[in-house]
Amino acid sequence: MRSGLRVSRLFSYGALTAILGFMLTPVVLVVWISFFSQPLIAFPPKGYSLAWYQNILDQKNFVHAFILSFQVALAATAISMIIGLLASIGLTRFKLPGKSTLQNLFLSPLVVPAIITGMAMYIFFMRLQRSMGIELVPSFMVLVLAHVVVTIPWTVRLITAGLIGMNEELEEAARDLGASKWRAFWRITLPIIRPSIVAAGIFAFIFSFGNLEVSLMLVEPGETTIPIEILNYVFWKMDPTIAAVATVQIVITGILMLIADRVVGLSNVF
Amino acid sequence: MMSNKVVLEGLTKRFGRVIAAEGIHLTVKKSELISLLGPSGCGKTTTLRMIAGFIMPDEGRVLIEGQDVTYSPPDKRDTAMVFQSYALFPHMTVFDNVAFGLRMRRVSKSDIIERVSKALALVRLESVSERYPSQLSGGQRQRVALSRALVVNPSVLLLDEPLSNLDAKLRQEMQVELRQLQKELNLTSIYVTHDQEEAFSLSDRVVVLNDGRIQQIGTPKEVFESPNSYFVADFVGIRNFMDGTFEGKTFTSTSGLKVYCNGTNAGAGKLGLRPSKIVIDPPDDVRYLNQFRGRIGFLKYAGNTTEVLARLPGGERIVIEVSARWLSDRSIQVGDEVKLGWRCEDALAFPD
Repeated sequence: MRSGLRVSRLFSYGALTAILGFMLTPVVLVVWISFFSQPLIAFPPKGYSLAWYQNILDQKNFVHAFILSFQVALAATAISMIIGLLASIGLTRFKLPGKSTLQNLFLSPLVVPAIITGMAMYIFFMRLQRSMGIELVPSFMVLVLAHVVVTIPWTVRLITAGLIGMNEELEEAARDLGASKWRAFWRITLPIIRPSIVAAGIFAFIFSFGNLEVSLMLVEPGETTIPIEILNYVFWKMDPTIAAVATVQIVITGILMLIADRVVGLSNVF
Repeated sequence: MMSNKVVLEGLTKRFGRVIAAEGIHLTVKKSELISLLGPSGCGKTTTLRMIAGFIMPDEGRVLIEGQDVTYSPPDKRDTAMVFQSYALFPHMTVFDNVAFGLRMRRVSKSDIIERVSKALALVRLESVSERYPSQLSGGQRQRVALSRALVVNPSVLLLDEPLSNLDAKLRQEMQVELRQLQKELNLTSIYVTHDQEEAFSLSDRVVVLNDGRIQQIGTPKEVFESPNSYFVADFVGIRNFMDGTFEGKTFTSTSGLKVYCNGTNAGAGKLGLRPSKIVIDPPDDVRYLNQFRGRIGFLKYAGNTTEVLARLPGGERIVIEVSARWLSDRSIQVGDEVKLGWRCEDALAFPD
């Protein structure tokens, strides 16, 4: 009995290690490779250098792409959070006809392959462009809009969860003590669901920042986001520059995750 | 002048097909503590929430201090509620929780400090004013909730099962404390509970509700001793019922048992007997006119009291409650045949 327990514990630790290894090895490898000194990736490395990081800075297109990705992600996150918050309030606090349909609609970008979403957006805006006579694709606005679409499931999901998890009697107590609807929301609801809102923002940012498929259709040549720039680069060359770019991206995402954990405790969100 | 603090006029609320409250008429006088008592789903909470303004009634009116507030939002009513979950704001200190209502009323800073301190002193929580609700015990949280409601000086204090999350001992203590505070401050209060003992020990008057309707309104003594219906009787602990017919003062059960009662009970079809009113080995006294032989079937020990289950000759099962003291002088055992008796006035008649 007891030894059976030990075996099963050993097994679960083994499985856990295997899964973690499977998930983390590529990440570790990428970071490692970014410090290799030789341009051809081969093991073991002949030496180490920071040349590839210098290379990123020297190549204007990477710096440019980072800046664009950042701008798009920031704008998309802001819009997605506002829509997510309003939608979540509507979905949780009001009696709406077709509520579950609406909810599914908000989550549907998760179900549709992102490349399809990108293509659909491209076609849609192309037509709009033709009938309206203004340039829409490629444009910053449409790129942001597309990113809003793919990040909205995250903001709606997380903020809805926060609102559902909150004791609604807290709002009632505030109303009962003389707070108007608006003040009750501002003074009570918002501070209480702040963790969900912060988490929603961080997730939206991360997913926008790393998005390749939707952007692919909507960027203009020479004005691309970082995932596309990486793809472009790999098309022609295969040296550790890519690993260095990826490492920078991993670090940015990692820092955001750390902040999220500090601010709200990610374990509270899931 | 205004002795009627709250008046409910025919309040009715339906949720879809379910009638949550129907034709609730009630007048709550100044300084009175009135309990809404009933099983879950009886409409007591719905009624309270209509008074607070969280639910709008389909029919009827709510008057507070003579003003029609039926359709006013909660923040425009002079009520304060103590929630079952306490609903303390988790991101605010005890002080800020209590100060919230005053801040919403735009009371000046110095007045807030003074009034909050006073309200916290009232519930003996001055020392924890800088703590957060998560750092308090259940009893302390309950008192913060109370203090938060008291500080705004409401016309009427609404309490929604405020003690049900406390353990038995603390609940008893809080009942006393609550009642003392309520009397001291002359607080008009409406108290929702499903616990009849709590309702009886706290209230000036008790309103028994069932299926959204008021069944009986009266002082605790009236409701306890003369329930007006089978439902109320059952709810306040009358455990023994027999079906049968009344003829003058005599009741004949379906099995042929004859019981003598007081008063005329024409039209009644049920006889009720409280377990504590039945005596084993009654004195040979004219007052114990009803005497029967019964066989003891089961003893259920419950500390202070013991329930004795016995069967009468006609086959009726009957529950008798005896005190621990009585039991210590006597020894009765399952299978014993004993004499049972009760006084005429203790046999209550109810319509079917």
